[in-house]
Amino acid sequence: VRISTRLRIITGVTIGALAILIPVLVWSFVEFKNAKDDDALADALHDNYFERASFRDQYFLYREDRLREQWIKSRTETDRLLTQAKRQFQRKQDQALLERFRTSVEDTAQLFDRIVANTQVMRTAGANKGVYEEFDRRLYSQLLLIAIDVRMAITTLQSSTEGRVQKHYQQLAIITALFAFTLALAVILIAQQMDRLIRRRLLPLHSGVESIAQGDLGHRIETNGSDEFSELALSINSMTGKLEELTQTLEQKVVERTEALEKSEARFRHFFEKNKSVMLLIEPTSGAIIEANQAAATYYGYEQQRLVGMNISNINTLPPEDVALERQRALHDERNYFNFRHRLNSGEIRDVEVYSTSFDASGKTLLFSIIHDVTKRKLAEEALQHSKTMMERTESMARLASFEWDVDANTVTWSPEMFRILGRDPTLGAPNLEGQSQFYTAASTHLLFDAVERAVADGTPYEFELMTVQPDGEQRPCYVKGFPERNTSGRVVRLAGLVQDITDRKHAEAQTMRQARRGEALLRLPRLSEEMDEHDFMQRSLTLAEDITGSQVSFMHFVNDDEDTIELVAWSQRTTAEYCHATFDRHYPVSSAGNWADAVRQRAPVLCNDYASYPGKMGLPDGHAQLLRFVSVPVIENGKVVMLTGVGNSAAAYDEFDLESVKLISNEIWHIVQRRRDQRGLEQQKALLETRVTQRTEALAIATDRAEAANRAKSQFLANMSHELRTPMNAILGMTSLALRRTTDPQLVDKLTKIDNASHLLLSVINDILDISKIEAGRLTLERVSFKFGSVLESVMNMVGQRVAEKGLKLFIDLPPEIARLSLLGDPLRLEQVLLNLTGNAVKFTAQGVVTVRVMKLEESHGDVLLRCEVQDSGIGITPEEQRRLFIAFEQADGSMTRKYGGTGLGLVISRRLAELMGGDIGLISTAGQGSTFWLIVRFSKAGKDAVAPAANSAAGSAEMQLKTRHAGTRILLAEDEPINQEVSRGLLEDVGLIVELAEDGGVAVAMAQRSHYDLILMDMQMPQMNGVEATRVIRALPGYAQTPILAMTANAFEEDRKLCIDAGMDDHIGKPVAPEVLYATLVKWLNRTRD
Amino acid sequence: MGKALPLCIFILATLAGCDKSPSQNTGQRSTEPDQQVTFAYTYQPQSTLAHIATTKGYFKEEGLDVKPLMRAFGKEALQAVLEQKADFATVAETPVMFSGLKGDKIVVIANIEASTTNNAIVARKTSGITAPGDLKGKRVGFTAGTTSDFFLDSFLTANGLTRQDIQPVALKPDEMKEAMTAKNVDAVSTWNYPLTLIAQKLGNEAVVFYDRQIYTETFNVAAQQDFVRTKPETVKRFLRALVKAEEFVAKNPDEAQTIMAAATKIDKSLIRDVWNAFNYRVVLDQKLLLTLEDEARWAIKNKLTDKTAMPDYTGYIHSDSLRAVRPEAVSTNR
Repeated sequence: VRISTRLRIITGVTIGALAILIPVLVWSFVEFKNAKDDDALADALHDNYFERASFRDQYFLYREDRLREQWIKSRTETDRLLTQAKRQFQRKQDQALLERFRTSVEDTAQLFDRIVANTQVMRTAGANKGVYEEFDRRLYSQLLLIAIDVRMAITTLQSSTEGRVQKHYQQLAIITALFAFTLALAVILIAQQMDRLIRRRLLPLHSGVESIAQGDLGHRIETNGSDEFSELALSINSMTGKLEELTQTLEQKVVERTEALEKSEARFRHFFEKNKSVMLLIEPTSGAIIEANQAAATYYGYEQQRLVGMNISNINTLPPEDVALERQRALHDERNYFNFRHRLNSGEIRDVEVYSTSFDASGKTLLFSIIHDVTKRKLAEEALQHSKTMMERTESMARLASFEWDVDANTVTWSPEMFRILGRDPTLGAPNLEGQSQFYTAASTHLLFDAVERAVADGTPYEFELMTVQPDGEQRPCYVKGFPERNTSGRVVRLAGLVQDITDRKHAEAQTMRQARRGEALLRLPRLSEEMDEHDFMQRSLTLAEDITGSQVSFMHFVNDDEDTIELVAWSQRTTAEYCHATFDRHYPVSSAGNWADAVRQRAPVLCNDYASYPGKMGLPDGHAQLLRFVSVPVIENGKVVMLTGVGNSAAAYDEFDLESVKLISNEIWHIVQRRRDQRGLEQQKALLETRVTQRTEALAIATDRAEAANRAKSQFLANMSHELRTPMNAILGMTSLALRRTTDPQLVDKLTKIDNASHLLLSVINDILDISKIEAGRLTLERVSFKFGSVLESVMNMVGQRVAEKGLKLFIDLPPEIARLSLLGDPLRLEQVLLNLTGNAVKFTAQGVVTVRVMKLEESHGDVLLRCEVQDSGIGITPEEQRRLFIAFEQADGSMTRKYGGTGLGLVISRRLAELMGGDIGLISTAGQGSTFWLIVRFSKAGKDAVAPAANSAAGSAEMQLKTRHAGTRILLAEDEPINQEVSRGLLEDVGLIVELAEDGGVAVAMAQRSHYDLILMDMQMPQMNGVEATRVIRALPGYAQTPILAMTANAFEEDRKLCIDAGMDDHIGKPVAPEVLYATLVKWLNRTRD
Repeated sequence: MGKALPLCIFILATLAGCDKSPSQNTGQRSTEPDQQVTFAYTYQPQSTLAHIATTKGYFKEEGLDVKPLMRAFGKEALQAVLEQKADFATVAETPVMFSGLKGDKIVVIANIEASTTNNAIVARKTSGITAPGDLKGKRVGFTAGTTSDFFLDSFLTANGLTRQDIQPVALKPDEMKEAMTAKNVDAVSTWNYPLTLIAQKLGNEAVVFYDRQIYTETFNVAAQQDFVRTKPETVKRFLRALVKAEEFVAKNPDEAQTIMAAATKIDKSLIRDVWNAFNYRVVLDQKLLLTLEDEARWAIKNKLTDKTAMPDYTGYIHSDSLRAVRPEAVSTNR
């Protein structure tokens, strides 16, 4: 059997066994590994749970929060392990156990949570703490029960996984052993075969081959048997035979080849030596010149023997290492053609072309080089290149290009600069004439083509400026000149010319123009400021700024000191006329200003050429011009932004020059405006100062007086005002009254009645104004006399009764008798005033319906009583807004009210003040259109039983009769300085039969009283020589005048005046204007008393 | 492994042993007459394994002639054993606990059911009860000496209340529905099926309070200590039949429900509704002992017994028989 067959059998059996064993081994290992992992996880779950149980039990024991937190951490770990286990465990029963473990653990966790929660409750529980403690034990014992489930589940799981580990371990061990056994068996079998068969049969082969290797080609190895070794021996013997034959053939060939080579070398030597071209043979590694022909010796100027033996680096001007590199290239045929510079023996350097290639000479590889001198050609080429470069440089510097058009061929040639000027890719070449239309604007193309056509037709040269269009759309101006060239027959065959980019020139021209205009504008500004007022000046200045920057809109703001608000001071005329129709606040905060105010916010100029994509765009108000671009510049003075100037919407993009221009102009405007203002301010300041010095001097002189008099003057003014108003009123009313008494003519009575009414109205207005003045001056005080509430209300009803009747209204009085009978201490007149005001208003504002007056008692104590009076009407009502203003001075519900209904609108203000002084308040409930209810709350002290009602004017009618009947002929001294009032008083007194003697002054009155006796004296207070008060004092001291009634009859109607009179010894006070009824009642009162 | 790789079978087969041996019981028993035993159990779902074992003839298979003695609830079934009217009874742990306190000579041979949601408080919303705290001052029905009693107390405690805070009304389980509908009580502490029946009867008016964490009810098989001592083989057969019932129930829940419906005359849908509340496994573990002691402490503390010392409940649990029948079902220490 062949060896290979035996080995194949052994290997096949082994591989078969292993092929079965390896998957089993792998499977077994995987199972074992899985079981091991599961077991480790089960252990981890076990450990984790018991660690957690330990925290739980410690918590139950010590209730430390720290333990709870550790428990929570441990629980998170449980969750993690469970998730992992759920994924990892493959077996159904393990999953079931895991689920049991999980639910039980979850139950313990929930119970633990409840223990924790209950612990919190226990800590704060009061009386029923025992219950919570009981519950605590309950939960824990329940928890312990479930803990048993947990333990069982995890223990079972662990034993399950452990069992699996054991099982798979055993499997793995058995299979591994089998594997190892199989391998070992195979190795032993193979080794035995190798040793027995191979080693023994190899020895004769070895010795035979060694003999052949030593050159014994005749040696043959012994062969026996038919295995691979016998075959090998036969093959070696056959090979040795073949080797013998080959050796003989080779030797023959070597002899032939040597002869051929010798011939070839002789031929080459002849060719080399006699050649007219310079030739060298060079050793490629060292560069040594091995051979040089006669031509080389002549060319380089060396003896031929000398040249051979030199190194090529002695001739080549390149550094030796570069020459070596080039030699290597030639050697490997990477490159065969070279341009070098060679040094001749004379020292001259020549340009040479070298053709170099490898050359095999007598088994050595050499470089064969042929050298041509190209110095002259090189010089010519360099000169050409130089002039071309010069030309291009010149064109480039001048931005000047040239072109040539071959008319017949319609081909165009451009100089390189031409491509640059038109911004075209030179690699694409120059297009023909038609193709050039895209390089110029339509107008320029037209112009150009026309000119070219003409030039070709009749040879007219052309010259003009055109506008090119660059690939990016930019337009640039250029200057073009064309020269037609004719052939000998006179036909134009060629058009040559030049094109020059004149953008910079144009730009420079424009810039110069702009600078000139700016300079001129800046020079004009001061003169403009002298010719016009500030606003016009600024507007004109803005127009200049627009002109210089090519803008369409412009504006100017002053920035207030706070740098937070700005004030629009000027728009250019064009802006307002053509572009902006928005309505603007002239003042607004920077925060709400548009983007142009960014210059204020950033304290730096803003240049925006594309408003549409401006970052932080804020939008524009309606009517504002569409903003395309703008420049906005702040003027900064002493570190503060003081002014903001902006221009916008120029046709071309703004540049730094525009920004600079706006900056210069706005700075100039600011300085001019400031200078103007300073100048004007200075003049005003000077005048003001002078006036102020004078005024201050005067003021100082009277300051002291004024200070002293101020207080006095205020009171005095009020009193005087009152006096001065009442005096003529007295005359008017008095005269009217007298006239009425004396006439029976119905027409006259009517007219007089109207005068009387109007006068009374006027009087009430005066009274209101005086009252409010007193209130404002804080001088309003109340009387404290006893009165009956019923009498006051009765009086009020009498006064409004007539109006009510006239308007056809109904008046309801709801006054409980016990309130009507109440004797109170207070100011009945002021109470009456308030009630009259409320009732009067109700009547006034009610067109039809009912006015109800209701009085009720809110509180009553031993000493005082709190009353509420309500006046309800069905009138026009009052809106809430009007209600608010109703009690504020000078704010009657509506200005129109005063016009429609009359009155000062002060009544309620006075009433409220009076109510407050009476310890109460006033207010209303009202709905517009549905009537109002005004209420008054007042507190009065209760008076004793002997309270006397004041002399009521209700008895006026009878007073006149009494005077006529009982006191006619009584002598009255009337002290009165004012002639009309003298007449009025005298008239009234004489009407009732009294005898009146007149004293025009206090002094006169005293003298008259001294001379004769009077039953009663009516005393004016203000008289020229001696006033009433002083006169009274003197008269009282006169014999027989101690008891004589002296009654003040005066326009000094204030309470303090009254007090002054009483203090001076007067008995009573009758205020002017004198109501006849009051005068008569008072006279009756005092005359009766005297008589009694 | 064996299927795919014959070589391994060849090698491993030499290492593997054969432990199969024929059952010894079957052959022997067929020659003996059936033993007669009386089994007191209830219509409650907790007694399912008893019903299944009876209906499916598992007792018969084990050579037991079981005579059923039906009782309303476990306490009464236990009473039958105490009165020697029955040999075995199904009963919750609470009556067993009280028996222990009284010194009754009984013993638990297996736990056949456990549930955390079988006990609950059903209350009437119209009595103003919507949350556990509302039970305060209300009339609450319960069955004394049963799980109902213990659960009520646990539930009150869990909500910060005591027995003094309510008006307890002692009721038998079958009186509860009537008491609730007649509004004699505002709530009852009870178990299934009354629990579900009452809740269904009240409809929207009902509110049911569960607390599955505070109490685990168990149902057990109890017998006289003497009986267990003198007839160990009977006990084992009895337990084997119950284990078969457990396996049947686990594999055929629907059929088990049908059997229960027929055996207890209770609507199958109701049985199905409450089915998942119960865990039917024949086991014995430390939990029973702990529960008995726990409840005993409660009974002593609340003076529900005149005893003041904890009885030794290990004497009330007999685990040898179950361990012999099914070793893995026993995890309690002797």
